[in-house]
Amino acid sequence: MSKAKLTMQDIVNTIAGKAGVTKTAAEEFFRAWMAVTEEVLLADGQVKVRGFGTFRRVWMAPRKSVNVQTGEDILLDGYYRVVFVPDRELKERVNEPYAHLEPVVLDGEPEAAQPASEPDPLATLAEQADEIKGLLSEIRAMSAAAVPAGEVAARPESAAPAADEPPAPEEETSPAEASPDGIREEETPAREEKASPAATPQEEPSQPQETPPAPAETAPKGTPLPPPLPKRRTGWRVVLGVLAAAVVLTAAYFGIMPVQHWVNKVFLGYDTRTYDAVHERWEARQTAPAQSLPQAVTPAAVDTFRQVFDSRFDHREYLATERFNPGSRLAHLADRYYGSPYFWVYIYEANREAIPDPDRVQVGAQVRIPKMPALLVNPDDPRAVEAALSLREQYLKK
Amino acid sequence: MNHKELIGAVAARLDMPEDYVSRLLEVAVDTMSAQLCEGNQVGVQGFGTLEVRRKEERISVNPATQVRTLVPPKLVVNFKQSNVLKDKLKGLPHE
Repeated sequence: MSKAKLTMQDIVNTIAGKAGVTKTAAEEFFRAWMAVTEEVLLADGQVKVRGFGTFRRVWMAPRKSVNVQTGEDILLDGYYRVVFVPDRELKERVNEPYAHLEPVVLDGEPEAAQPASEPDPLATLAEQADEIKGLLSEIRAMSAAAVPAGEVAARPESAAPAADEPPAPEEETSPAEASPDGIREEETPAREEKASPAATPQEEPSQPQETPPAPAETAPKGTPLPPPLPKRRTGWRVVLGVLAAAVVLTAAYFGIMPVQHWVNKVFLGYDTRTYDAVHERWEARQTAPAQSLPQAVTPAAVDTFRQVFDSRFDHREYLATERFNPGSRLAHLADRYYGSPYFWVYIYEANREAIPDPDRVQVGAQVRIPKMPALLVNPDDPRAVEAALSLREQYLKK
Repeated sequence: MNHKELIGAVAARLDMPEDYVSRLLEVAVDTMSAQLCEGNQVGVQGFGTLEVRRKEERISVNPATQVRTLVPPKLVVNFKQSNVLKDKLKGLPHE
């Protein structure tokens, strides 16, 4: 796209050449046009030129401002400004390079993105919570066993439930859905079972050995445990601290995700191609969780769709053969022939030998447009779009 | 003033037949549109400049439904009035 500045003279010369009149005549005409336009604008009016647009003046109301030197309020006078409103014809002509782009509804996108990545950290959190619960019940069992042993042990016994209190709310703030009551109920039988075999104090040294299988974060607790009872409380504090840090980090991670996503979107969309890429990236996120959906849809319909999809190579007819021009895109062709840019993958499939890389098609390449079953290239059918998008994933990954 | 009136006014000023003016105007519009499409600026001394600007893609949120929409980038024609025209308009009173 060249960015030359043309003057009236350049335009006049072109007009003269095109209309077959002298340059003087063309210039006279152009000046008259501008003069009339100006006159009409000054005398309250608008000038409409068919196929071009409308020049009209708008009143900019007086507004308050502040004198930056003195800090006092001043009133800026209202004034007229000439604006140009392009006709639909000109608008569409100018916007041609981007005409194939359509607004994309991002509805539900943040919700869709989170469940996709959330299960992992959540699962580990829940695991950790379970393990900690187990440890707690063991400790309680131990202390319960220790009660008859002597008065000294009774002290830590009361300390253990106290230390037990904080982790429960902690787990509540993390998205794990275990209710504190549920924890209690699960624990009590466990504690009783533990209590009877743990009746012998010999069991106690063996407990610390069982702690190492806990996740890496709880490892520091393994060391404070072997020393006798008073140290145990500080050990639990360490565990709690680590757990809180994990929760904070997870929260921070999810806080950053949308921002990063937004940055990607805003700063990478620099031309048509990257817009497509951004759009596709978004689409990929959308489809990732949705991939499992087709099974949920009526199985019979899916089956016929699958059949058609799998047999798409069987009989090949071609609608047309297109020469790939500079600026052409497979997505444009798909848009033209199938009504949606998503279906470019099928064009690519039909031209595998001519197109090594779908992102960079050789200019001048002859691209055959295959005749596709209507079921597969129906832009209104989510399954068709999904199928095309999964193919796209497949081809772009290579 | 619509297209026909404009042609009439210009024809009267040039003292030329209307179909001649109409033809020239059509060519002029076509020329300018073509130049704008190529990304060139068209400036007319004492009147203003027409140019094409790129509007970046953006995310718009429907305030009522909170539905977020990614609006694609687009090219739009922009007119900037010249200072001469601005000054001429300045003195006009607002009714």
